[in-house]
Amino acid sequence: MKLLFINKIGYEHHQEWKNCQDFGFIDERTKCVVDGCSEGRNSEVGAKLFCHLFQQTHNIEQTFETLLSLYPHFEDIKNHLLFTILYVTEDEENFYVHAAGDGYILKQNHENKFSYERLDFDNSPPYYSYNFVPKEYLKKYQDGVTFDVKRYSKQEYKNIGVATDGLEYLLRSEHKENFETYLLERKEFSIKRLINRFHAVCKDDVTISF
Amino acid sequence: MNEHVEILGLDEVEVQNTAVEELETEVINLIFVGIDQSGSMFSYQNTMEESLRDFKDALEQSKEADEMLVARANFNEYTVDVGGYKKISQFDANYIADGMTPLYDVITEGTEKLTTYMTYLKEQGMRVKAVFAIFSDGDDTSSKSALKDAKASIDTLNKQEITTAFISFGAGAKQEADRLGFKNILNITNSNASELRKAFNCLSKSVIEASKSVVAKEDDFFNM
Repeated sequence: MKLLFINKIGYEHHQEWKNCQDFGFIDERTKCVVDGCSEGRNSEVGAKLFCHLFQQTHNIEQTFETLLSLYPHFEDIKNHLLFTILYVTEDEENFYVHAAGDGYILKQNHENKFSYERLDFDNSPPYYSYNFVPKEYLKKYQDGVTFDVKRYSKQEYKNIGVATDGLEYLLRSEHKENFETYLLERKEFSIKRLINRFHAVCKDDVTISF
Repeated sequence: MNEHVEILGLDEVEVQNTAVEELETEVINLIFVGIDQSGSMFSYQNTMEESLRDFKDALEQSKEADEMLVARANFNEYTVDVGGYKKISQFDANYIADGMTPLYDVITEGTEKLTTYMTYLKEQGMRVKAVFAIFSDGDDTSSKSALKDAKASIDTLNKQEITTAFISFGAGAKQEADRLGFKNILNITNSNASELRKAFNCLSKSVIEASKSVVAKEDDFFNM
């Protein structure tokens, strides 16, 4: 199946001359999206770095070991390493979605119907980097954050992907049908052009790895 | 008898040029190349063909090839033929020289077709940059359009941040390019085969560099 990856800046960030805080990657082994925390000064830097390292190692612990050697202090972590992480792996029978934070799980069944599962934490997502922040600074998640793993059988689903929460704007717009047509045909550039065309609709950054 | 009226609608724009769904990109560089085929270029016919082939090869081999669509416009006394924007692999490198120079006509028609296609692409969600380049060795000698019309066309292009470039081959055309308001002029005063090859080499390099650039190269286009 042709890999599909979209990473587009949201209209509001574009209007405010801000960077896109989303990033991600896709390869034969992993589909990954990350969304930097808007309160972190440069969370997009850490998010991007995470993706580059994780794509090489495919190992979360090893990736964070390197990231923490670059950003060892609390202030560094706060400003660079707070981002949601969603990624999909698979074996012969199942897809596995690993999630630390909010976003969407995209599901395509064998009848080519799409459905979407929202991961919502009421604006306080569990960032994996909270594991490296002294507990006194945390209001929630003092016991640590682990990846929530969901399994989807290949007997039921043809494909499973992930997206950042910015997908919400496309899904509730009049362009949802076009989006799903292009998704079905795996027309990556048609989706990118659709977002460009109706950019004001897509207020938040959106990244899709499918 | 009813007069034939041609209305350029959406379908025609797609047919004459490249339909957006054929493009595997969201960023595109439109390259307009107007080629003077007047009789004064007769002695350079072979060198022109060679230079146009080299131009095509350079663009085709560049990493930016997939993000470029090129339109060739031929102009002489007998025809002003502005082609559609197609992939560089479809660029025609043939060349024949004869007749006089309808420079203003090719500028007005070329501008109209470029801006129409550019509008269509933008409406389809494409990010578009463009270069409007003319190669000529002399003054206008046979246009139906007036200087002011051609000047207004170049002004329109400049205002839309489209790179306007003129290769003046020999002494005759530089003043004309200045009058018309081209922002980039490559002035080749020694008209010989070697300089002609160099000029097209410079054009291909400049087009490739402009395609790499995030913003339009408005007045520093020629890459020597």
